[in-house]
Amino acid sequence: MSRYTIRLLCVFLAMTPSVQAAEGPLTEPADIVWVSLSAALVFFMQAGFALLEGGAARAKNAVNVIMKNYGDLCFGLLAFWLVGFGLMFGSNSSGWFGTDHFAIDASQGSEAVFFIFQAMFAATAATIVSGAVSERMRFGPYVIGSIGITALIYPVFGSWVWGSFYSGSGWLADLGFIDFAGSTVVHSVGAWCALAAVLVLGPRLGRYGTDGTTHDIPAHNLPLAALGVFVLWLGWFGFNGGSTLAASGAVGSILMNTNLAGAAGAVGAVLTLTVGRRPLAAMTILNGALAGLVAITAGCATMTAPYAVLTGLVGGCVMVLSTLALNRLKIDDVVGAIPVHGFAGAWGTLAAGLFYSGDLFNADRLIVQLTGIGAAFAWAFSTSLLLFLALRLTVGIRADTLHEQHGLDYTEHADIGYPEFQSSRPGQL
Amino acid sequence: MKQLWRQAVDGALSENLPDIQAQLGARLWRSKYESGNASAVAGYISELGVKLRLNHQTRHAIRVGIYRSMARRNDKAGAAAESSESGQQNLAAARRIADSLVCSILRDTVSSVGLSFHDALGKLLDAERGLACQPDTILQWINGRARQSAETEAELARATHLVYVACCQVLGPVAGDKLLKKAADRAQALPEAAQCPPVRLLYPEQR
Repeated sequence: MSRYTIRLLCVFLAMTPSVQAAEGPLTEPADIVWVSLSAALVFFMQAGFALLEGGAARAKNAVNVIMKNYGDLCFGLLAFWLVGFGLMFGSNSSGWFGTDHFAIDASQGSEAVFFIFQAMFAATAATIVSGAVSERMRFGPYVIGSIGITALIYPVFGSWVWGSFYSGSGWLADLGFIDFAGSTVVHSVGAWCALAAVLVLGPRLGRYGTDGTTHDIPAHNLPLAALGVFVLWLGWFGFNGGSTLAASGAVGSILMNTNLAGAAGAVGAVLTLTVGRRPLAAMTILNGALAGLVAITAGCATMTAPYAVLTGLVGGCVMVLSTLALNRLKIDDVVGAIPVHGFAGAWGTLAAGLFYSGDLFNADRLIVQLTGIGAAFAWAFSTSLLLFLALRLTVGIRADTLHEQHGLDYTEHADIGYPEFQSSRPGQL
Repeated sequence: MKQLWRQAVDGALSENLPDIQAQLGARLWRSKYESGNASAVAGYISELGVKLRLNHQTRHAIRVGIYRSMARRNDKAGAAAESSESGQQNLAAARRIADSLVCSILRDTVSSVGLSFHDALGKLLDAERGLACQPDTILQWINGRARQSAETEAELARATHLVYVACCQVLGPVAGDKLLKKAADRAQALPEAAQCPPVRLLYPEQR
C-alpha cells in the first residue's frame, strides 16, 4: 500500500464517527426525546431573534434583518456540520480544538441528537451578530461572516470549554471553568463577534450627528419585537433545560432558576431606568429579561434560586448601563445585542463562579471564571475583527448610503416588507 | 457639410467604378464641385460621364448613390439633433425637479438646525469625487445663489442624495426620511414631473 493511500485512509478514518460515543450521554430513550425537544425549542429561538430584530429595525430593513437570521441558520448549520462540530467536539487531545468527526454522518441516535442540539447553539451564536449590524450591512458578506463564526470562531472556543464528547477535554474545562449552557461560550462569543462587526461597519447613516448628538431610530414594530422576546424566553426552556443532555430531575431546578432570572432581569432594567430617571422604554425592559436569561445560562445548574434572582437582577442593570456606555462611545448596536449577550453574559459567567452552590465566593474559582471571560473576548473579538476587516477589504461589507436611503429590503432582496403601507415604488417612499 | 458631401461622393464612386476611375472622379469633385451643393451634383455627373465615357446606367447609379448616402447622413444628424433637443428638455425638467427637492429639504432642515447643515453638506461635497461640478458651485446652487449647472441626471441625483445624507447627519435618519418624502410629494405636483418624475432622481439606478 502506497504512502499516499495510507494517508487517504487516515483522513477517511478521522472523518468517520466513533462508535465509542454510544457509551457516553444520550443513551436512554427519554434523554434522547428530551434533548430532541430541547433542540426544537432552541431552533424556535431563531424565530424569536427574527421577530425581535425585524421589529426593532425600520420597516424598510425588516426583511433584510429576518433574511440574515434565516441565512445564518442555513449556511451556519452546514458550516457547523462540515467543520465546526469536529473542531468543537472531535477528539481533543491538545485541549485547543477537536481533530476528527468532521462532516459527521452519525449512525448512532445519540450522536445525531447531540449534533442537532449543538448545531442549534452554533446558529444562536451566529445570529446574535445580525441584530447588531442590521440596517447597514450587506447580506452576502454577512453570510460569509456567519460561516466563519459557525465553522471556526465559535467551535474553537467551544472546544476549550465543552470539547469532551468523544475524548479529551478543553483547557478551560480542565481549569474548572463553569459555563453550563453557554453564557460565555454561546452568548458572549456571539456578542464579541458582533462588537467587532459594528466597529468595522460604523454606525448607521445619521445615527450620531456631526455635533455629537445621538439620533433615536425607533423600532418599526414594537409588538413584533415583544413577541420575539416571548419566543426567545420559551426557547430558553430548551437552551438551559436541554443542556443537561438527560431527562433528569435537575431539569426542574434549572428551569426554575432560568425563569426567575429572566423575570429578575426585566425588574433590574426597570429599577435601573427608574433610578437613572430615564423613560421606561419598552425595548430596554424587553432586553432586561433577555439579559437576565443570558446571565443565568452559565450558572443555572450550579446555584440556588435566590442567587439566580440576584444574577438576573444584576444582569438587567448591567445591560442598561452598558447600553448607555456603548451609546456614549458611538457604537451603534441596533437591538442591544452586545449589552444583552456580551456584558450580561460576562456577568453571568462571573456569577456562576461567585454563587457556586456549596462553595460561595471562592476566589480561585473567580479567577478561573475571569480567565474564561477574558479568553472568550480575546479569541472571539480578535478573530472576528480580522474576519470582518478582511471582508471589508475584499468584498466590502457596508451598504452604500443610497442603499440605506432606499432600505436594504429593496437593495439587497428586491423586496419590501409591507407593500400595503409602503409606496408601490420600492423603498421607504 | 463639405466633408459629408465628400464622403458621399467617394462612397458612390468606389461602389460603381474601378479604383483608378474612382480616384479621378474624386479629384474632379474636390477641384471643381466641392464648394457647391446638391445642384452641383448634376454638373459633376455630366462632366464625369464625359471624361470617363460612362454609360447612362453608371451615371445614374453614381448620382443616386450620392443622394442616398447624403439622405442617410441627414437622417442620422436629424435624429441626433432631435434626440439632443429631447435630452435637453428632460434635463431641464430634471433640474427643476432637483431644485424643488433640494429647496424643500433645505427649507425644513435649515429652519431646524441652521448652518450646521451647510457644514455637513460642504464636507460631503468635498469628499465626493464623482461630480463634475465643483463643490462650491453646488453649494451655491443649493443656497439659491446660482443656477445649478449639473450636466446629467446622474449628477443631479447624486447631489440630491448628498443633501439627504447631510440632512440625516444633522437631524437623524428618521427626520431625513420624512423630509425626503415630503419633498418628493411636492416635486411630484410640478408639471415637470410628467417628464422627469422625482423617483428618477431618488432611484437613479432604475433609470
